[in-house]
Amino acid sequence: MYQRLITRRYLLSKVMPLLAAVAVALCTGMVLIVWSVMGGFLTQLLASGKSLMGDVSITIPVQGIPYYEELIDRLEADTEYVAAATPVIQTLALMNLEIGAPPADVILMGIEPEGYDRVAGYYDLIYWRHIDKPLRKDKLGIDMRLAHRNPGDPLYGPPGSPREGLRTASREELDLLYERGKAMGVLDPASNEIMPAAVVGTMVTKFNWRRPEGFIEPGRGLFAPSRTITLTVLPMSDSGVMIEPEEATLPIANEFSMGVYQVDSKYVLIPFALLQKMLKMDQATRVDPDWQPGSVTFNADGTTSFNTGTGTTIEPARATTIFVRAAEGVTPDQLDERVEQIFDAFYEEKMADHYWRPSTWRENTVFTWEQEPNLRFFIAAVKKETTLVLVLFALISLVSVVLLFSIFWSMVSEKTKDVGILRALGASRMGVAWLFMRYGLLLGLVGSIAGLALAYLIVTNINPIHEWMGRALGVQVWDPSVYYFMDIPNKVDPMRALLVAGVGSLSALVGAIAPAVRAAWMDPVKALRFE
Amino acid sequence: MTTTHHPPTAASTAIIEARSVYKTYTLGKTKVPVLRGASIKVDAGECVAVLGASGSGKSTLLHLLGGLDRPDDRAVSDNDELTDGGRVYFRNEPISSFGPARLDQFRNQSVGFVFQFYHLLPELSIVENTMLGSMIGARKHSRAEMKARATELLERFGLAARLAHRPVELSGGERQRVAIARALMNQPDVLLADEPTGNLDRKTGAQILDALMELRERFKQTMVIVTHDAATADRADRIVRLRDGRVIGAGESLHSDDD
Ligand SMILES: Nc1ncnc2c1ncn2[C@@H]1O[C@H](COP(=O)(O)OP(=O)(O)OP(=O)(O)O)[C@@H](O)[C@H]1O
Ligand SMILES: [Mg+2]
Repeated sequence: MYQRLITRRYLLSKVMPLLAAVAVALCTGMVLIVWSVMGGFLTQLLASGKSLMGDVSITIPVQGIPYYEELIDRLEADTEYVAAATPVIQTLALMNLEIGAPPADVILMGIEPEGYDRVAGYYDLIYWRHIDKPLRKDKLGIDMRLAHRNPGDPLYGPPGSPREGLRTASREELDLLYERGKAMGVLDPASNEIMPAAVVGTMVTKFNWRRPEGFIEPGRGLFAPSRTITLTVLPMSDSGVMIEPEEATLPIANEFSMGVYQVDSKYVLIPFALLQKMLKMDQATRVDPDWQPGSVTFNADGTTSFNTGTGTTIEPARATTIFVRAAEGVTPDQLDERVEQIFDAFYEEKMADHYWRPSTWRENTVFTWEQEPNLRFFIAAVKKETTLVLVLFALISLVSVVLLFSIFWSMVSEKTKDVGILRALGASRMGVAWLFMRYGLLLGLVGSIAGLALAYLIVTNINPIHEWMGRALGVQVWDPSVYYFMDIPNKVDPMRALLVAGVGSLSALVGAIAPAVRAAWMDPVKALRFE
Repeated sequence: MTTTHHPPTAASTAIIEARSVYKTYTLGKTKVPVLRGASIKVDAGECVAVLGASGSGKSTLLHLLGGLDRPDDRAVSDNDELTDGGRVYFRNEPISSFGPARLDQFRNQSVGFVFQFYHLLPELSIVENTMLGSMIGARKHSRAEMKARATELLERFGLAARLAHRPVELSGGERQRVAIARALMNQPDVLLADEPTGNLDRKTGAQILDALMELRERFKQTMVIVTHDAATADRADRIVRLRDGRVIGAGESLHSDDD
């Protein structure tokens, strides 16, 4: 009874409890913000790494994998582990655009759109498509993908329209672009044939710029899907000998965005069959220069045989890479092991005669997305950063806990005399301990709820805040090219929030209760004399 | 001098009694013996003044009587015998045998403390401070009843207009009156007052003393008043003196060595 009265009086009467609650709020808020942003960073990275290449890939860079269709069949037959597999060719290429940027090197990926979609969710990455609702940050609804143009309207938004002076799109155009992206082809009106087309990362052409509202805006007159791209590759023979450079000029069907800057600025996708042909990796006939029709071969066992046939061999078509997606509930590492087994058997049967296998082939051929060479560099970097961040985070948390503990400790220590008075008036030890437990817990809870609210507000609005900082203060902390992502992670995990609030309140509680118990367990006279 | 001398009587008449208590404080390595076999006995309705020089252990004795502190576990008497540290009895029951709950109850119900430095809770209003003892104790009364009694007590001490005030808004004398009201809240068997006027000017001190004496007259309140002021002591039924850690027989001349 008296506990409630005194708790209330303590809470209302002084600056100290207010400061303590603010300290709890700041500590919990800070820890949660750091955790959410940094944690979100990793999760986003993991999600995007997977969305480029599925869970596991098999890669033999230059020579390629012969009979890959059969390997895919074998993989897909193992439904327990494998959800889908698709062939890919990856190579470096030189990119030329009609206008603007000088030639640049890109990673060219030949894909089969449907298969790539099944493995890596390709269709979801296609950027230019109709969207119904503006993004949350796009309050004015000016995203080009919202289809502002009606039939008969000019291409550039007329004065007073939401996209005044900017390229607009109609619903039909966006739907067509999406279909083109999915098919990776553009219908040629002259020949009525579908021409293969490229889908480029949104940051590849440098035509686009990112708006603070979270979407991409093509520069005036620079809408990539109405332009062409010229790609030059260096084919090599299966023995690694360079052949003449091969060049192709393709219309750009659409653009894609994974949200990872390193990918969106580096990758160009074209149809698998086209790249296979350009790199001379399609099926071919090889002529044996030593072959003489009707000649006799003396075999080692003493027999003789006549050479029959045409003197040619069929070179099988090849893919450099196979992306594999794990079946439900299978981890990338489990899949990795399984794929290695399947590939091992396949290799012995189909490839051992033709292909020299280096001793390290295992590590270099089948790997999970985390080990993929093109992703590895930034995954490793981020993982290192994450470790650092975790250490810092642990430090911040520790400091917060100690800080809260000290604040509550000194606040309650100040009340030692009150404990003496209450004990002199006949209050029990437990009764007094309970009083301060209430006090600490209440302040801890109030503080951490305020802290959570604060953290939630800041984290969910971190991108606008960051942009505002950029504009108002000239501070640009988050450079997409450095931090891999276009946006700062802005999700708060409720479990984390709960944990942070719990630990915050607990530190306050323990900090409050320790000196209270100490005071309650001394003789009242000592407590009364306490300074 | 109007000291009434009560000859030692059978233990049964005493409300509170200390028998040969020892108390030694340890400061670092040095031991400071404060009480060395002090005994005091207070009968029902008595008002006993404890006199002694500063540092003679008056407060210490009072704290032992009120169960705020414990005598030493072991002690060496003057003739080098090892004894226990003595005991305090409440109605012939040694309070050292009380369990924690009983001891809490003893402090809450049986004694009322008035401290030299008031010891009011600064965050609570005057009424709330006064009610505190009854709020802590068993819930015999409703909150309204408690408040009514606290108000009545405070009115008796002339604080009717200040009920909602905080201790800091009161003068020293007013604060001490609140402390007395708080001590009386649970109608204690003994009121233990530690230099209730020590911190006050003469006039205010006299008022406080008048209030206490009125309690004695009207309600036969048993009390022990610690003081080093002879004038205060003179108004008690009986005076005992502390010197060299012991209580020296009552009724001795007070003026010879206290100045
Ligand atoms: N907790 C303690 N630790 C160490 N020494 C103490 C402690 N409490 C009291 N003392 C010492 O014991 C002696 C007696 O103290 P006490 O407060 O009982 O004296 P007093 O007679 O009440 O004095 P005063 O008239 O000044 O109030 C003093 O010398 C004091 O310094
Ligand atoms: Mg004293």
